[in-house]
Amino acid sequence: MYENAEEVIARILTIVAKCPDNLKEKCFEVLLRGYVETEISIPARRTANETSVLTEREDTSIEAAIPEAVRQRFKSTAKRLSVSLPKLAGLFDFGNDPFTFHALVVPGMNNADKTRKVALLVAAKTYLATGNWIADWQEVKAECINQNCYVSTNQSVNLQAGEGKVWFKSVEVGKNIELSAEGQKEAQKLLTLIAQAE
Amino acid sequence: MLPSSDELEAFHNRLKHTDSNLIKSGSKEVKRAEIIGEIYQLARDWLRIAAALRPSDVVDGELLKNFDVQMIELQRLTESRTRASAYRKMLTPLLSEFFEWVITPLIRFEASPAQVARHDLLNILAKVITPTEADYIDEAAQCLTLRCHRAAIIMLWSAAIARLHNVIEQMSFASYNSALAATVAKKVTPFKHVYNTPISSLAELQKIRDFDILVVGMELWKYDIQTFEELERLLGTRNNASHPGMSKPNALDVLQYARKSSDFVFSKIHFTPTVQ
Repeated sequence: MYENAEEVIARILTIVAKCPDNLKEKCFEVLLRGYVETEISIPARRTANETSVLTEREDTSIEAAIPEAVRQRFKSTAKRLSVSLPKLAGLFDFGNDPFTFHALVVPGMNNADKTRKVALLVAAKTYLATGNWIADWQEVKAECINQNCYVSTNQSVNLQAGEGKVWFKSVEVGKNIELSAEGQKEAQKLLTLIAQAE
Repeated sequence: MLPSSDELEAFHNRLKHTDSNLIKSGSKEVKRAEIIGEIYQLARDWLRIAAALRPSDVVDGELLKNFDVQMIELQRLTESRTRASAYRKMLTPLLSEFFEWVITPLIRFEASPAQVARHDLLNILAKVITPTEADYIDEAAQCLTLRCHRAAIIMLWSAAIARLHNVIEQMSFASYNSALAATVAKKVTPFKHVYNTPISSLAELQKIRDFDILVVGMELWKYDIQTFEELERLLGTRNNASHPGMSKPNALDVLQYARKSSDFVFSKIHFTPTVQ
């Protein structure tokens, strides 16, 4: 493993250098993660039988990585969304306590659309952690910065615009954003979409 | 106390607004008292904000020092006749770096796992606790941010017991005593393990074992044995947290404990605080 690491990292750095300053760190993280994951998996070298045994082992180890307090909620959510547990769990970093999102790309046509979807995802994460469909205002802001869609003066306007009126019960600066039943459905759809794409 | 990123964004907007007023004056002397007053106030507010930010290490200390120097200079400039361009010379570096180097680190800090756990804990209990209980919950939330999870569990249980004590006091001690008499009359587990200790004051109630209150609670509040067992498990977790042992709760365990406390204590056993 990692025989060509020096060469690959040099290439990654060349690509990162071409990115805008505020995206460099993110870009490096995504590319390096991609390389490490490729090195870890190397599916072509495995026979079908080995693959199935390994997949089973990986599934068990992923399940074990999910903290016991929320494992059942993860399992039932994965089942409800018809997504495999490793795919759903793969969106989160359980090395942090409580768990956080791994680097992910939130879809959206513009800043406002992306901001609303970030709020849905943050609420989905809170649901998995505590059972409440609530997005923490500060967490939404931080994730919007990660997704490059944070517009300080327009954050609450962006959240309330368009489908925001239907998805969120109320939006007030500094307050939690509670999802409506419609918002919860949308958040689950989005979670499924991202989990399947990862 | 650490200012919030929302407060800092409001400050940043004031900086931008003042700067756009100064642009209009070009290189002329600023004579409008309200602009000079706002610049003076901005500098004062910054020094207050910087003092609050400094101990947290969220923002680079050197950067804060540089901004302080510029703001003190800005404040000094308001005392003499000064051109708009001179004010802007001091404001521009602050404006260009403020969002990236002050606000963004603070937003990231506010969304760090420990801070998120704190918000989650407060959200779980916000709608079901009284102001007295809120003191314990705030302390539990503080423990969570410091990753003192055992301490957080102990504080959560203290809030739950405060609820039970307050409700008993509100119902009258006589009600407790008659529920106690009915409890000790039963000769099976868990009723037979309750000490027959009638009470007539809050001080006496405070001396009663938590376990006894939970058992008597089946008579007082008419919850069933399953609810009692859930409550007993919460007490067990609290005891594990306060005695030496291998129990190592994480933040999610604390949140789950808060959720169960909410379901089995705060949402089930209602207390109406009297208006003073």
